[in-house]
Amino acid sequence: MRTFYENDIRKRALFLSFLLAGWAAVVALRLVQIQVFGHARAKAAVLDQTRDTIKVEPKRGNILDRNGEILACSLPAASVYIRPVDRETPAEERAKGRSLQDRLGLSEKEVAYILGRLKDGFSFTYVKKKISGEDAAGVMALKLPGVGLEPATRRHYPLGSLAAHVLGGVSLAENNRTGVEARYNDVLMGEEGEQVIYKVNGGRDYQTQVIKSPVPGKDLVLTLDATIQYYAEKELARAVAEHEAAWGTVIVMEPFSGEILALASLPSYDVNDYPGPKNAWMNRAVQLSYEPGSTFKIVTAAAARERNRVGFTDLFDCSAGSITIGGLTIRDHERVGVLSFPNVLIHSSNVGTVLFASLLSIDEFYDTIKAFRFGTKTGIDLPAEASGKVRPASEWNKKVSLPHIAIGYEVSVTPLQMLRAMNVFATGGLLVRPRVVRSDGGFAGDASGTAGGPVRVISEKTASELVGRVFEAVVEEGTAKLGRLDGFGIAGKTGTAQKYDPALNAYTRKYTASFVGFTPVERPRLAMIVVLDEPKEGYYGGQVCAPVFRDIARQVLRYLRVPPERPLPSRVLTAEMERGEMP
Amino acid sequence: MMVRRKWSLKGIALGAALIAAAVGILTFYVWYQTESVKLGIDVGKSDERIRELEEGIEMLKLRKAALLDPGRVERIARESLGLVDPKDDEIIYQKLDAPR
Repeated sequence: MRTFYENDIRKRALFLSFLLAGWAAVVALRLVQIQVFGHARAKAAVLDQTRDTIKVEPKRGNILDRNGEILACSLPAASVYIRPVDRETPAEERAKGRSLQDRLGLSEKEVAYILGRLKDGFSFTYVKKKISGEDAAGVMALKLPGVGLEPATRRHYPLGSLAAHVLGGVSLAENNRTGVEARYNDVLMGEEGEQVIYKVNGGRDYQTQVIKSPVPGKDLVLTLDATIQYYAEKELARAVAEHEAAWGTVIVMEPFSGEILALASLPSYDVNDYPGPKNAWMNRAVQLSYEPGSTFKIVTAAAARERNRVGFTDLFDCSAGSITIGGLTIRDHERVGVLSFPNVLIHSSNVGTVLFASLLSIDEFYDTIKAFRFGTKTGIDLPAEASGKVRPASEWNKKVSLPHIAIGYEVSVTPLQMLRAMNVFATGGLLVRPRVVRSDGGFAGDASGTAGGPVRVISEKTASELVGRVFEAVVEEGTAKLGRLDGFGIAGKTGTAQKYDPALNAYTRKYTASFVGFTPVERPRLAMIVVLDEPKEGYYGGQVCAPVFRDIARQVLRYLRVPPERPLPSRVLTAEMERGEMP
Repeated sequence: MMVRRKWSLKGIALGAALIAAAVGILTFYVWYQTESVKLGIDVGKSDERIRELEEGIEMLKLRKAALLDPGRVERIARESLGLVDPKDDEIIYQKLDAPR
């Protein structure tokens, strides 16, 4: 027989069991209600809570000069965004918009756009992209519901406009870029990460969680030297201002490696303000082609000497000062008399050049021009390079084209192509590919595309003879005397090309002046071209460009610690006096 | 007639020991969890500090680059320090292997 105590326990246990079973049944029914009947609604709620996956911008790689100096880097920044908040009234949204306007200096139009997006139910709207850390802290201090910060970076160029056209630049939204920023974007940009945004506090607030960390971009090492770039830009700016030129460009290259040490193009812009003024966008060193004029005579001379059509002692009668071929009259800038082959080039006689060029056939001359790769891009690792223009030999006027092209007309070249052609003489006949990124730039593979070594264009003998007997004398005693540099030999060629006006269908009295050369002559360390467009106060290449070459070369050679290759002229003046004569 | 069950001293001691053990385990668990969370927070703070310091290093590198701007250096050298370029004959070149 059960005792009262046992009966009581039994009753209580039974009651408790029923209670628990009932509770379990209620829970189970509720679960069925939520998960089965309310599946669609629950799924929508979950998706609404977590559906926004936003990209996390990776840190863009730095751009360094050949000595590791920072030319471009990315600083932390933040983008402010706004999201709709549940049960928020339009008045509250407007108040939020005003607060953001005051803190971030937004325009009325921007505020109206943001409020319009909130009203239309957009779940995510950028308020302002890439603001400074200070502004970001200010925004967060406002503690506005639905307003958050997305981590970002902002491109910064500590040296301002230095090397602007090589660096190019990146727009704030990073959807527009040029220069190496564009060419090597894949290397620099890294991989985007992802983060999910959750609604919390019943939709009153948001939290983010990174689900995939971004991979930062790789650094890029350029061949540029910031100091040499500075020298080039400084002297170019001085020359452009002094001669009131429309534009100017300087390229400095290491002759044997093809590495560009400096590339300056004016007008320029501050890369921090990319894209800058429209007239400064073009990198005239590689994107603009022009008729080179007399600098192209180096190709004519190479063609004639390589085929032994002319000797160094051959004489040409230039005394008439002009020559007419097929109705085309070609004039010299001054009457120069009878000249030897070297003197034709040293004094840049158009008549003499036409005379020795006439010893070549059209095909022979065309083959040499193509061997120098005119009309073809150099392959420099910068975007939008121009290829210049050389018409096929079959399209040449049988009488006029050869003499005209021999003196640098009817063809268009880029300054870089002209420099590469002169560099053939510096390297003893080899054509090298110019580049702005070092092949060991810190990223896998040879992204600069420097595959393929130098190509022989002319024999070493032709190159050295023309350098020693002609191009060095151009500077010592010819048209580029103003470019002479004490202690160093410079081999080069001047050019003064009349500009063609398509509207008038005629050549005008406007000129493009240039000087291209290299130094020292024995062991070249620099190849350089200087081009000034429409210079005033003197327009000859030897007058306006050769001195710029000299001034840059002097500073760069000192900077590179290149000792003079010949004795410096004595600064002590000596005079002889006849015996008995009084001073 | 209701009879109250009498707890033995041994049973009470055992119960107390079990309760003490349970409280001890629970306390240890709570302490462990708290410490784990604290460590996690400390790691997070350290990561944040590392990130801040790395950003600081980047900023200093940038400042250095801006200060070494060749144009700025030349301006200071010429205008503040009164330096001038040496003339060609004022520079002595010496071979590296030459006696000094």
